[in-house]
Amino acid sequence: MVHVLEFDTEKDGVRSLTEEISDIVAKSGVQEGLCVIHTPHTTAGITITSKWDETDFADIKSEFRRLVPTRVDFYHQFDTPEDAAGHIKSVLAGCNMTLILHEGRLMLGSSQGIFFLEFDGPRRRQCYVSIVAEH
Amino acid sequence: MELEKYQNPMRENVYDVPGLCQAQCKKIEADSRMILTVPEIYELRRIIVTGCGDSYAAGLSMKTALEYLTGLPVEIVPAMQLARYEQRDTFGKPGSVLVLAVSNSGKVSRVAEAIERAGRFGALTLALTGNAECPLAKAAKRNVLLQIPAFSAGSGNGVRSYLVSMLSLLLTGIRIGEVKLRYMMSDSQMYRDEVARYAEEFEKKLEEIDSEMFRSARENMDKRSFEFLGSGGNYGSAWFGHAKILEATGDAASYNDMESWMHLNCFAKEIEGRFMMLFSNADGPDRSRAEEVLDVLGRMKGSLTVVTDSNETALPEKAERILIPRCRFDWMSPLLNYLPSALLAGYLSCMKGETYGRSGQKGWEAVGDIRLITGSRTEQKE
Repeated sequence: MVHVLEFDTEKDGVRSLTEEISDIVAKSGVQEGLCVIHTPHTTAGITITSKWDETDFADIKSEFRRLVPTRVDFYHQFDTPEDAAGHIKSVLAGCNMTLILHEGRLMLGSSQGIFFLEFDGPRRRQCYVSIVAEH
Repeated sequence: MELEKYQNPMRENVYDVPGLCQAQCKKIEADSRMILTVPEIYELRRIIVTGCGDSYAAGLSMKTALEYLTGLPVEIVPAMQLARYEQRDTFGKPGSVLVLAVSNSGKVSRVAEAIERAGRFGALTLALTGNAECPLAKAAKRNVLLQIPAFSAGSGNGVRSYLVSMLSLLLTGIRIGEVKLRYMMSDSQMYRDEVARYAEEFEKKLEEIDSEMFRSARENMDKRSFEFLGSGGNYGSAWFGHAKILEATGDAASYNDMESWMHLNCFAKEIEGRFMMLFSNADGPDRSRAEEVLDVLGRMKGSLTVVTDSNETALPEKAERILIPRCRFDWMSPLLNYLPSALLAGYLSCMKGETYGRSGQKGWEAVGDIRLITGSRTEQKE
């Protein structure tokens, strides 16, 4: 079964998904298996990073902007320069994630959180979550 | 029904406009989206819209919209001014001025001349035309081909091509603003959706508006002068309204900005024989001045009709209110608010027994030849 998380984002926002995904895992009752997460967007990504200090998000956003500044000379002209930059940031961050599920819990480190990265926005966004039980 | 006796091509064209608006919005968007590159859009510092007749009015109607959307200064320059008088220096750095030329036929000599000259002076020139092989398309650096479906009721009265001219300018503006990141792509879609919704609402209300304009035409068929007032984008609607009267009935017709009217045209001698149409929306920036002008008009003789999107706004007792659908953006309203004036002109033409453009009438033989417009000598001097 696929669970769909829906939420609104802010421009270039970072949103934690850790609690919602942990809830889906707990409700599934699966003890051993995998948790697959996918976001069906081309100007967004999902990642794992430290959940303790929100200034980390500012650093991450800033570095993404430094690596992929919004320029007017992208080959992709159909949309906007920001959209073209968003596509590249999305490729760098990735849209998929697979986590190990053990003894009914996600095997995340104590500092790790799951985060949605918006490279456009504000937008209505989705994340798909699927729990695969080990046979 | 008595109205049926006064069927006319102008009216039939009006009824086709809302559907045409919805269909053309998608088509022009798809055809024009990539016509300017992103680097070209970022080079722009100014936009000039040029044209003749209804095409010039389309520029006036969309000036405010273009400025709002693109954040660039927009000037509507008559083709003659651009072709012969505008100075080379005003074009600045090559590629910094975008000149948009609207002409459905693309055969108007002066517009082609203007666009060629602007291009020579370094402007990025874009023709919005229905004819890929026309002189305008050949003179411009880029072209968007407008494909207005043929219409059985006949064309030539400009009601449908005027809509497409405005729409092409509006969609160009939406795209420039989007690329310049003035708003999100989802906002661009919201603007385009609003065009479609506005057209849909107009379609629902058209019969009611039609009946009112028929009644208005009957009551005003003895009028000898027709004046149209509007500010902002409605200045273009006023221009279009006066043009349709001149073409359809040959009566004296004028257009004016509300402020200018209060300074000058209010002194015109013809009052009792005058029909006045004023365009103003409830939330438009012109509202307070419109109230003052309406108060004055209410205390003068003559007929007064107000095209507005609200039942709530106070009008003088004698004024006829033509209620049109409310558009979410005041600057988008001129896209369709001209339709009542076209209905009026069509009915008056029938009721007064006038042929459109005095066709074939004695005294007007010298002006009926299209070559006066399309065969005019062009010049390319400094």
